[in-house]
Amino acid sequence: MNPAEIDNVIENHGSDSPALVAILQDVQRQEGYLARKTLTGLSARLHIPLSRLYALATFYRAFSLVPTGRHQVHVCLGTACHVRGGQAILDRLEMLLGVRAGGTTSDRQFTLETVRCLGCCSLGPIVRVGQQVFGNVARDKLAKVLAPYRKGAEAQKQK
Amino acid sequence: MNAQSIIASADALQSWKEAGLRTISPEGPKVTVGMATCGLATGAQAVFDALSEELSKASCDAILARTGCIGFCQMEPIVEVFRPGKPRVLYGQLNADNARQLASDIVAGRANGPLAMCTVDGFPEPGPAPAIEGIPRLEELPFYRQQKKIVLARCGRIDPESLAEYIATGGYFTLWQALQGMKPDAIIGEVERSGLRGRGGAGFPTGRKWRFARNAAGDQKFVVCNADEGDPGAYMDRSLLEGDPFAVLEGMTLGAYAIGATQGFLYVRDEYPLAVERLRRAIRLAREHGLLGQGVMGTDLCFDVRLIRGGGAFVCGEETALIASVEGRPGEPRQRPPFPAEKGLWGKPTNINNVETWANVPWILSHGADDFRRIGTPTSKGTKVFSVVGKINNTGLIEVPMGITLREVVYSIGGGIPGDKKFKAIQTGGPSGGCIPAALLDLPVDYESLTQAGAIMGSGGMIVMDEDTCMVDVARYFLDFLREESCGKCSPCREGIARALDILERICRGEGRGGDLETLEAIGRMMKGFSLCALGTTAPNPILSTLKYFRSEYEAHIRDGRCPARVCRALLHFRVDPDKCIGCTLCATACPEHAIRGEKKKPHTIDEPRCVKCGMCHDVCKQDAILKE
Repeated sequence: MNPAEIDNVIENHGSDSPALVAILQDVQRQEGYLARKTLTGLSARLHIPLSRLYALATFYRAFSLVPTGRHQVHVCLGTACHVRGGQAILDRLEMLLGVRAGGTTSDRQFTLETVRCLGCCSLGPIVRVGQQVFGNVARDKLAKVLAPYRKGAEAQKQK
Repeated sequence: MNAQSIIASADALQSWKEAGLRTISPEGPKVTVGMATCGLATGAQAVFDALSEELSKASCDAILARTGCIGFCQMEPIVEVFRPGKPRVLYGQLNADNARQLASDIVAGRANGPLAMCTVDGFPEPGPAPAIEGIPRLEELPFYRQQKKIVLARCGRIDPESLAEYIATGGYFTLWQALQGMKPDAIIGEVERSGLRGRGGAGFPTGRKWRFARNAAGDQKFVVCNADEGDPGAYMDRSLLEGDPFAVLEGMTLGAYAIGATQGFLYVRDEYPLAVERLRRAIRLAREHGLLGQGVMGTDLCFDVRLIRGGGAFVCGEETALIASVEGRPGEPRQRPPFPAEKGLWGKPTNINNVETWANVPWILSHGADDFRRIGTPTSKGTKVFSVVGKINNTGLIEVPMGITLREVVYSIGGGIPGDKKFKAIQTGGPSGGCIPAALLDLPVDYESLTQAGAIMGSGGMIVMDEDTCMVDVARYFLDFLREESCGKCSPCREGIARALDILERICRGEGRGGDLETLEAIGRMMKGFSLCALGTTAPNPILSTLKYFRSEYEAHIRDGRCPARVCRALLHFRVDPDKCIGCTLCATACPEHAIRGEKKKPHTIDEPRCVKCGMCHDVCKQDAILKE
């Protein structure tokens, strides 16, 4: 993000204390993570110690200090989904993607995360890729779920 | 903007009401699609698009609208069809294909159809649903029969983005009357008399909390809505925020008037984007029309609401952690006293209530405390919204009078356990709660009974578990969740959870030792006695309640290395049943470790030392030939 875009975000939310998390969230959404450079820039712009922004960035799960993948794969591990086999879904996805929960694939295409309750409990177990929710997923169908996103990644690479 | 745009008179309210009634019951047909998060997740957008396409192809003048969650999530996507002079009909389990059939039914004026679920009342007029031959009325459906909608009355019925429809169904009349004729003290008195208790989990008497905040000294006071609904499996507040956001704003405004607050904060969980969007819109509309800001409804009251998004931290549901978060700091709780009512945000008196608590306020003030007291039990008045999920046939959101039994929730409303499996436990109160076994199914649902049984009411999540659920694994699951969510500030919680989880993970791996259960109990006592906040003091509950009712299951893991529910993978043995195996090789192909051998059309065998017990073979086998022992 360039300084003008950052200024925009700050204007949107104000720069008082309650706005800090909201500013960081907008940046996270835009850039996919909070780069050190960005945090340093924000610190200077807002006259707030970098350590304070760092405290927020490391405390709240909404933020990542490392780049995240193009597709966010979220496995719901809410209690209802857990009871319907959510853990087994996560295990299988870890195997298919080659990363543990919280990790990003080396080609930066997928980030695998757990999430606790998307509120679609009647469809458990649930996997969400980006905004697309897949309900009642069976373990042996997970490769099929990922396939179109993988194909997209291949097409991207070839461009 | 015309004069009626600012709502500051009885006439203005009345004209908005009439406008709202005209859109709720238009002169032509109207089709409303449930598009809350649950509806959208089941494909409501595709249903909406299909209906839109078919209706415009047929040049039908039916209005297409959207609404929130009506609670019967099992049947989503749900569509309501309104025809002037005819009963409203609800249709369930729609998809893009059968939506086209529904569209032609609508065009042809046909009400009945295989998708018809029930008829619904002439909302907003009171009264039971009229009947149509062959279609049950909503109140006759087992899922709805015992429910009583106070807080959820508008969810799934009105357009949540329409201020006019909110007003047409009674909205803002209560605030108007209160600002015109009730003294703040009288409002607090009415809320006290009603017996309303906090719906976020602690159940503290709401009126009493308001009284403390009113009496506290401070040059500025705040009200806060805690919408950081973090219990996994609980989504009551989300549905309320998505389906009836103005109710929460009106409740907060009434509270602000009563307490003397001038600024409100609505702290919404980061993971609820649709709720955030609906609330932003509702706040904007309220400001535009004089319902928030300087001179609310033309009176001296100045009150505005600021929306704050959470950062994805469960602990921020705890009120002092929430305060820290709003103040722009990591969400770490602090010592109480002083309580927020005395010293909250920036040291000023702050009244914090849960979403559902706020939503009860307009109803209580308009119907009166006596009507509220008539519902519920002597110590738990009113209704409670619950999410009934897990191993249950009728998954969804229900609003029931306090005092209904767990058995009624599970069997009468919930429709029992799918697949004819045996009920094992119902978990209430999220990670702060506990598991209640079959022997206690006749317990009434109220604050005291659930606490005495070793669980808590909590925010309203009710997870039903069956014979295939391992209770040791449930305890491990909750402690794993809490380990991630503990803020780390105090040692009893940070270390206690970590050590308890170590022990539980060992037990689930088959490495349990004598003395483990006694150690877990000791850690539990320590955490209950010394943790800084309720996350820590209630963290032992899942362990202690499962130990209380399912101790033999723990002992089977430790003494016999056996998981009776066959969940804990390290304790499972996978074996091919040679009598059932037809040698299709599906399992061998699926096995990630190449641990299954066999020729085509001949029974296969699993090489146990190579088996990592992932269970893929069990999943893919169509002959039920893989035994999980």
